[in-house]
This record gives sequence, structure tokens and C-alpha cells, in this order.
Amino acid sequence: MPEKNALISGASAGIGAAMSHFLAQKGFHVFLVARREERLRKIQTDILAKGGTCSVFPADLNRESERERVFNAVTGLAGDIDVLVNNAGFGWYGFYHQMPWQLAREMVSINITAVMHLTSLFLPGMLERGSGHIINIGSIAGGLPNQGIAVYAGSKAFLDAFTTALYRECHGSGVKVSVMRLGPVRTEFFDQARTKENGYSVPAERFAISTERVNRALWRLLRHPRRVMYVPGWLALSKYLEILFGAVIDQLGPLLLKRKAK
Amino acid sequence: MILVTGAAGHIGNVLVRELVDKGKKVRALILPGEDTTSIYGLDIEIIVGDVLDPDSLDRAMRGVEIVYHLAGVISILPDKNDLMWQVNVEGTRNVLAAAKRAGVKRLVHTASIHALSRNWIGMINEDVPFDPNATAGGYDRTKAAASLLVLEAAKKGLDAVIVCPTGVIGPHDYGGSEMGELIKDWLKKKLNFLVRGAYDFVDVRDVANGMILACERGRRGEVYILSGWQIKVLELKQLVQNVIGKRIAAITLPMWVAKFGAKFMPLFYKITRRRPRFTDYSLNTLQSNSKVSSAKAQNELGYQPRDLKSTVSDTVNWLIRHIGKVHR
Repeated sequence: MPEKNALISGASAGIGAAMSHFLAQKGFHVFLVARREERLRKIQTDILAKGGTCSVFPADLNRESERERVFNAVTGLAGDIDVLVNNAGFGWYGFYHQMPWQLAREMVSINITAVMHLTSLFLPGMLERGSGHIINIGSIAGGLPNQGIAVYAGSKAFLDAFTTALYRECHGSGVKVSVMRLGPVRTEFFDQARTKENGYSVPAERFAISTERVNRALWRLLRHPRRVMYVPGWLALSKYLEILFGAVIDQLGPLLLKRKAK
Repeated sequence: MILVTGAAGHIGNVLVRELVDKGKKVRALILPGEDTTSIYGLDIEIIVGDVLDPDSLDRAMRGVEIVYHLAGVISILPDKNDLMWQVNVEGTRNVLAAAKRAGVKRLVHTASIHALSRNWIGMINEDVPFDPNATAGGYDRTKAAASLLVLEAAKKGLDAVIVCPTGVIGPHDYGGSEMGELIKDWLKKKLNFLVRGAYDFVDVRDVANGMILACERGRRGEVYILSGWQIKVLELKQLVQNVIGKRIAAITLPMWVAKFGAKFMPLFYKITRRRPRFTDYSLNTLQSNSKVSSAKAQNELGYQPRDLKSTVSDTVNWLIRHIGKVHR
């Protein structure tokens, strides 16, 4: 089997869907994992029509048994996977004290637990084979724990730390672990965040970049693996923001959240 | 080299798996844009083509000694009759012609128990004639007509055999066969509607094995029925319940109610695009004679179907692994 394969979680929309199309076009066999089967089937039809190949595995990554099922089904078919993209995740913008507890718990479950679990399922096989690439979709929010994104920023900070530790653990094994720290990307992420209970519009939406730029960055990352990649690249500056201006931002308080633009 | 048409289908992918396990070199014919998940990761050659495109068949049969012809369309709805005729009959005609051109040594054609006449009293065996004018449904007519083409080609020099599987169930059902979808419903839905009736069901792996046996030992121009065991719908449900250890809630409809409802199913399908379970065709099938004998295949080929208990258990476990938790 000369072709490579990739598993993309959260493939039914947004960055995941764009990456699925992109990798299939680049010759990967893509395993599409997400909850919404109809949307996955639609993406599959598009990919197949363009001559790519892919497989659909509808699953609710919120649930442990579902994640194990995906692992068993995919490895039952493919043996091993070459690229794991932990992309599934969602955001919410608003005061933490107004955040419904169920939502916070679900965010931790999808943004953190599912990433940990899928990684723990697929990483041993990659290490045994001495190759593989795990790509976690992080965010600059991981380094900028600002007002309105308490849990989201925390979950992305987790990905930063998790990735760095794993990158070091896997050094020399042939397995690469990376985090893509994205700025805002133009997807339904913001609509999702807005329409959840007590959610505000995310102000960063106006700076959003296209998914094509994320795909180009993904391709660079696959060819030249590294621990951290900022998209767009200049956001590498963002890591200094907290250090330089953290004290100032502290003084702003909930100012940014005052304007309740729904 | 072995060519399998319809390789990504239910019987197709299981046959390919069996052949690969036996160390054979396999080439799989798939349609452009077809979902190939079922044969992903197998050490085989994949060639894109269409049984309706003779040129692609010539390419596919280059260097091929054995052809397993499985490509076909199955529908229990009447509105797919044109497509079924094209693929099942004209497609088979093209495959036979291409096989002759390529000098193929043996061709195994997959017909169906439905290709045989339904007007038969008593045990169904290979004496039952193919009925290209069957009234039961388009699928039956196309499968019968295609089989007659194969018999004619066998008379004219092509070394071909025909197998007739009954109702196929089993694991590796990626495309969602009629029976697989029914069992999936039982696992997922809170309430199901059933009808009384019975049919003969056979394990997909036994069908694949039977086809390989027919290829190795079958006599030219002969038909072999690959059947399993006759079972009532309610008994099948009981077997599924035994595997999952839970009761499946179901209401058994009187046949006349189901038949009345079936009148509206083609319309229902047009509106919702959801595949119906109860159609005139499927209900008639459940009521038809399903006492089937595979004695010929057993005696001549050494075919031996496994019991349905293990089939159902493997099928349900496979489905659960692929569709997730049982929702109840």
C-alpha cells in the first residue's frame, strides 16, 4: 500500500472538512470522523468525485466507547494510520460565571479528553512502526488566556503543553507531534460559539483567515515537521503579548466583554 | 491474476479478502467515484472501470485467468428498473464478451436465488428454471436474463459457472445491504415494525467460499445454489436479541396492513430519500417459497454453510463496532 492515510476528527465542517478535501487531493486516504453522518457522506461524495479516496466513520467523540470504536474500526481496516489530526473542538465566548456547566464539561471532553484518548490509542502503533505524525489543532488563545475564553483558552493551553511534552518523549522515535496554533479562521466555528447558550460573538472573527491558508500551512508542516506552527506565521509574535502586556490587559478587566454584540 | 467485478460490495469485499488470504493475486474493478472503504488496506490491485464501458473491461482483464463477476445493482423499489437492466444484463453481456476476448480460463457469475422462477412447489434446487419474465420484480428479471446469457456463453465455449446465493448476511457490510440495514434498525430504533414470514439466509463468508469452490471444482455451464438456513423473521430477531442481551421492541404487523402500507413506499422514498423496508417486493419475498437446497453444491463442491447463530453473532458484533452503541 503505497498511499498514506490520515484520520481527521471533526471532519464534517470548518477546518476539518477543508483539510479532508485537501489531503485527499494530495493522495491521502482520509478517514473522516465526526458526529454528523449526512455531512460526512456529502464530503465523501465530493472527494470521491474528484478522484480521491476516503472512508466515513460517524462517531460522537464525546463518548469514550465511541472513540474506542473508531480506533478499532479504523485499525481493523488500515492497520495503522500515518497522520492523526486532532481537529474536533469548539469555542464559546462569554463570562465564565454564565457558562452552562454542561457546555464547559463538553468542551473539556471534546477539546481535551478526546485528543488525549485518540492519541493514547494511536500513538503506540506509531511508535512501534517508527513513523507517524500527530497534529493537534491549537490556538493562539492557548497563550493568551483572555476575557471570555476561560475554558477554551485553558483547553488550548493544555494542547500546547501536551504537544510539547509528547514531542520531547517521541524525540528520535520517528514519530512527530505538532500543534498548529491558529489565529481566527473563517468557518462556522464562530456561528457555533455565538448560538450556544449565553454565548457572545467572538471579536476576533473580523481578522479571520481562509481555510486555504491553513491547508497550505498543514502541507508545510507535514513536509517539515516541527513542534509548533503559527498560522499565519506572524502570530508567532502573540506569545510575547502576554509577557509584555499581561499586566495592562489585567487592568482592562471585563471591558472587552461589556459590549454585548450578539 | 484474478479479476473481481463489484469488488467493493458486500460479497465482493469478503470474496477479495478470502482470495487474498489464500495468497492469490487479485485485481478489483471499482466504479469511478465508488466508496472503496470495504477493500481499503488490502494487498490488491485496484482498477477503475465500469461494466458498461467495454474498453475499461478489456483493460481490466489484461493477463487475467479467472473472473468473478459480481457487479450488479440491487433495488427493492420499482423505479430503478432501467438502471438494473443496464448494469445487470448489459453489464454481464459486456463482461462475457470481454472475457472471451481476453481468453479468460474461468468465469464465475453471481446470479441470485431470485433469478430462479418463484412458481415452484416444493424444495428449490438447480432444476428450477431461470425466469426472465418474473413478475415479482425487476431484480429477478435482470438476474435471470443475465444468467441465461452466461449459460449461452458457456455453451459457445466460455468456461463459466453460475452461483445463486440466497439472502446474504454477514460482517464487512460497509455499503449497507438490505439485511444489514434491517438488523441495524433493530439495534438502533426504539420501535420496529415486523411482519411474519421466513426466508433462507446465508453467511456472506460461506458465499465467498462457495464461489471459490465453484471456480475450482464446478462443472462448466452448471448452476450451484449457495443457500444457508431457512429462518423466520421473528426467530432472526430472537437470535439478534440473544447476542445483544436486550429485547428489541417491535410490533408485528398483519400482512395485509404491511401490504397496504407498501403501496405508498415508492412515494415515501421519493419524498424522504430514505430506503424503505416494506415494499411489495420485499414482502412477497418473505412470503414466497424459501425451502432451498444446496445439496448439489455440498455434494459436488464440498460447500458447507455454517449455522446462523454464529453468522448473526458475527454480523451484530461487526455492526455494533461500526455504528456504535445500541441506542436504547
